[in-house]
Amino acid sequence: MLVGGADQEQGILAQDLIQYKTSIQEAIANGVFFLLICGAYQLFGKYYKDVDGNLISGLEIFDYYTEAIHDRKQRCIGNIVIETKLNDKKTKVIGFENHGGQTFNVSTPFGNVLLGNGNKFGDTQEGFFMNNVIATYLHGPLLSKNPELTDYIIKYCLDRKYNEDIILEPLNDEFENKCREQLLN
Amino acid sequence: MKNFFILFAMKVLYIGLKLARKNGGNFLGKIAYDWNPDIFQYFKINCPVIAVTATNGKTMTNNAIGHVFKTANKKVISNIEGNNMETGILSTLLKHCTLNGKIKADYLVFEVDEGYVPVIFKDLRLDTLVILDFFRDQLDRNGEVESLILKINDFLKNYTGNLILNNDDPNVARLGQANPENHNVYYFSVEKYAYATDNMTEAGEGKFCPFCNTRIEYEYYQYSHIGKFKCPNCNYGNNEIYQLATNIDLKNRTFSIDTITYQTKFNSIYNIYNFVAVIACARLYQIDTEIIQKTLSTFLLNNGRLEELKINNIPTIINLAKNPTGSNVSLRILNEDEAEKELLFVLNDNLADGHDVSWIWDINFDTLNQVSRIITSGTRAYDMAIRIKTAGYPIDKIEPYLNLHEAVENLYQTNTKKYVIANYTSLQPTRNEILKLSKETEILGNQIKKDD
Repeated sequence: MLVGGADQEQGILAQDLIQYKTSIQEAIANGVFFLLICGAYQLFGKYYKDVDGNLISGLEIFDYYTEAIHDRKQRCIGNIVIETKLNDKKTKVIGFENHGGQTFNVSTPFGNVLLGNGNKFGDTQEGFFMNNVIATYLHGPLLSKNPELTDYIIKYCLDRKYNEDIILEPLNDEFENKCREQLLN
Repeated sequence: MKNFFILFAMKVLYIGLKLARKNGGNFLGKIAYDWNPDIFQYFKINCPVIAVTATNGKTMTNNAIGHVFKTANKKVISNIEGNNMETGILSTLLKHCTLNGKIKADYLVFEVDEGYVPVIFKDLRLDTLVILDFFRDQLDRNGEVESLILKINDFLKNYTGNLILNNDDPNVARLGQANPENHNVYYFSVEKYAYATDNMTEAGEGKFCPFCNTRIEYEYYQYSHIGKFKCPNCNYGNNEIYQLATNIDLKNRTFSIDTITYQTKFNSIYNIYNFVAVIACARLYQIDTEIIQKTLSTFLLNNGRLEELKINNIPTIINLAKNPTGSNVSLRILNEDEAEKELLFVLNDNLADGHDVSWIWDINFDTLNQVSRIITSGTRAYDMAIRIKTAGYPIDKIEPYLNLHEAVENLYQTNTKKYVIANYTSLQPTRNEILKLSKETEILGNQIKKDD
């Protein structure tokens, strides 16, 4: 799992990560699960163009790219709800988005936006989803708010590791479900 | 002439507000600023202007500086109510000026929102700026800490007044180099305290040197990223210290500077930092040591900022915490207390709190000491409950209540000592619910200090 960070630290990290590009590509091809949030989502694309127009190269693993809005104060901020399909089952994923970057050219989005912005201001689509890669602007944090998504990722990883259809033992999700009810209403 | 009329109109309005028994908050300043954004230039101020900025500790430090000067029989004008943006400062000035903009005082002392320092002091003279710390705070409103620091750094490039900086915060100490021509930079520091650690145990920033990008090395961490640090490559952080606090004794609530011991009402490491800043500032204005000692030994805020109460004989400590570091230092006080206790954590997500509550995941709940039950409340009671559950705290000891009244009632079902942490908009409602419940409230600091 990779996430975003403060600007200075993300810059240092991006430079460092580029040298591992081939290994990352191999891991994705081998089916290792990647959960990429916010800055990491952007970093796996072609490039990130910052507020001043500087081009920061991405890992170019996927075809999407991100451009910051010229006005620093304009950011997609707020609660967000999207609908996605996990193992052909429709699921609502809830979270919080806070990003200035606008991501274009996403071929296979993570979900449809029910509330909030998504990849761009007023977009209908959010994130990027491809087999074993979920990239999204949703934090909140994502996993604790969305037990079904978490179970999906855990099951994927266990199935892959043991090469069988694992059944997860149910956990007490009382607080999580109440929290979701509150936001979805 | 225009400014004269603005002032005249504001004075009339202020009298109206007073008659209606309203304080007005930012109201006067808002109208005047919309009318003429250059109005700050109109004030005639002949006394020192002191400002305190930080992510955490502004109100405490600002009010303590004001109290020191008042104890020294000086006339102080200050925004003690905490209205700390341009309209708040302007309101304070408008209330205290004559019609031609003259302000009669010995000192002006302001707490200033960290984003507004460059805005306010573009046109208003500034003689001393105290900077305590910079932490992550309400990212959805403030953006990254780094952009905030860069804005203040830009402002300081042409500033030659006194600059009092926390040398133990790499985000703050760097500002001492903003203007190499400024020879009035004073650093303060605090010696290692009993619960300092070798590694960072709480969320923090400033891991890399702002000058050469090398990883910064720490001798110790007091809390978050506050501690004794140095860049191994360019020696950044190795400054001459103007005021150094030693012999930190939180149990007896004392510390020393040089050979002088200061007694305080507080038992937290972050307050030592606030008070060393206060002492550094008072020293620059030649205030007698006895006066500083006397002030700090009685100074309390009693507005839910580390407030100690007895509610129906149950010891209760209330503290504001609006960001991870604020929460972590509150939990430090809780963990450093060996008594059994129960915790109430109230979390709202209103505009003033920031709608994004993901910061609660940077709170360190892993090492709770002798906490027998946790109640959560506020608009985000369930988010808080999930956070605490995920830290490994037993789920059957967590009770979330969306309704604050219910939460407080349930909290006081037992006689165990209480710690209450509440964020910005939830603090006063929580405090009021607790006080309502009390048949008899004893403020443990003896007298209630009115910040007049």
